[in-house]
Amino acid sequence: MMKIVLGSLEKLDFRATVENIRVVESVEQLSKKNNEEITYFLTETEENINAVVRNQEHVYIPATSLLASHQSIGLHIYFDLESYPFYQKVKEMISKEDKPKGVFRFRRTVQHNRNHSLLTGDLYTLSSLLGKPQDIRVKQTDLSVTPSHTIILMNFGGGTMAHIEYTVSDRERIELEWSGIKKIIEFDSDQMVSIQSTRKPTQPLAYSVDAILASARKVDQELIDRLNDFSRLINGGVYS
Amino acid sequence: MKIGIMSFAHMHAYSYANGLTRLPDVELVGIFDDDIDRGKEAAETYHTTHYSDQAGFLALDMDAVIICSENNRHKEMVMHAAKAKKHILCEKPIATNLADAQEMIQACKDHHVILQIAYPVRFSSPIQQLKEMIDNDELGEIIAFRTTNRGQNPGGWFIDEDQSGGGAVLDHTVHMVDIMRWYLNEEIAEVEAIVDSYFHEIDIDDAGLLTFEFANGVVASHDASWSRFTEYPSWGDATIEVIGTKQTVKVDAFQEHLRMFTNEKKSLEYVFWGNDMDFGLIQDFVNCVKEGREPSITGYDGLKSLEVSLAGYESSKLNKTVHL
Repeated sequence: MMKIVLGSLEKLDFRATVENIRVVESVEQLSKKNNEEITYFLTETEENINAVVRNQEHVYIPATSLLASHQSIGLHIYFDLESYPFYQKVKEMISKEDKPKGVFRFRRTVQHNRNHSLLTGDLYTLSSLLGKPQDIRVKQTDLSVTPSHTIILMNFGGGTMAHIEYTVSDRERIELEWSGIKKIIEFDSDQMVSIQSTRKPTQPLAYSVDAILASARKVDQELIDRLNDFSRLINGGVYS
Repeated sequence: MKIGIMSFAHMHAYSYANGLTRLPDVELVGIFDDDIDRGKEAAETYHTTHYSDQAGFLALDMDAVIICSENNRHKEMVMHAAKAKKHILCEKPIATNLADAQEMIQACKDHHVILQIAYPVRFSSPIQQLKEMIDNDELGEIIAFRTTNRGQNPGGWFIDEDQSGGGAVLDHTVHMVDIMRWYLNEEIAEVEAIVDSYFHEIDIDDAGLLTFEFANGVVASHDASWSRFTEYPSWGDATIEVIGTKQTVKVDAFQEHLRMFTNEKKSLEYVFWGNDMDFGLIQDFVNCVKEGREPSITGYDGLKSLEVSLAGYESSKLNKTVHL
């Protein structure tokens, strides 16, 4: 059965994509195609997701869309953080340490207020790397006012603590720091870019379709429970 | 103006002494240090006299003293200096506990001497520029702060809790809390923290993450650590990002540097060329004494930043939010 990936076109890095992909503009176009060799890419609108969600086995949607309305077991979801090549490298570097100990700082600046679902997905992704958090504390400014800021203090126990921060502002940026034992990793999407132009804004953070397919997770009850757990925590709940 | 230095236990004593020597109308009249070798060496370096007897030193004809002892001795030296009617610049943190800090403030008030706390970051040029921008309403309403102060493990008495009163969290939280209070003119009302020790095999904290909420609802994060190893290109950082409704501005007090690459063990080094904030602090203190004015950084400022840092330890220990 053909694979269908839903996402944001502007986030897609075609140069880094090896997978044979075709971008289709509508679900109608999709219904006329059934080539198993090809991965079809469709914009992640509510309408498109609803239309393709029947073919659960081979549909890949952003985790933020699942959290918003489609908690369907059997779908594949992908977390944008996990799909970025810089994060793959960070994960590789930190995972090289036997029992990672250190201070992890992660900060996202986002343009739109999908803060909650994005944040939940990030907590899931980061806990996959750093372990199950023992304690989480959240402080937020008034989210109805832009800019807004959220600070999450996480204790992973065993020697790792983290500050995860979100600013809803007028641009996209990710900053990350790992202060480990004799190893410091720093990333800033504003600075670590190859192309800098005085006329064009910084290129958006992007990932390949290959990265989406490689990092996607099949939705099961356990995954949904963990995401719901994190979602509750952000709203002031207690970790279970 | 005649100034003396009490103890060279804290490495800042050297840069403060250098600052004094740059001021034309200031004389470094003596150094008290009961570590005799250290005191003699410093006196030789700065062409002044070493005193191992505190009372004898304080009997000198001088206007002010700079105290750079171990943290747990600040109180003793401030009390003696105040009684001897010397104006005081005291290294941070003001003390190792709040009761001592309050007594020191009261003693200086009773003896009508100035007590200034040494927070040199206030004299960093980019930190001052950001203060001006805030005061000129260029950032709009402040929503949040993000701050860091990470450096190397200073070792020695700093890692002995009896003498220092705390590790990296005490050492590196007071500075940025002072800057946030200065920028916002508000007090921190809530503190949440995780304090731990992982970077060095020492019995004192070397890492901490702290979250604050000010009385007016502004939130802040702070990363304090001795996580920078000697091979890291710089000593560390002191950064603050201010998120405002009009714009967000980030400052690193040590960002003005050259990148120098060599084929040595430390292949990349950041060579700082920015303004000398320690000199700015000394100049301000001297002017404060000269003009007989209220110090720019008061004992109360020292007390409040100490209070927040100690609340961080309490929050971590009790695993709960501490309300101030």
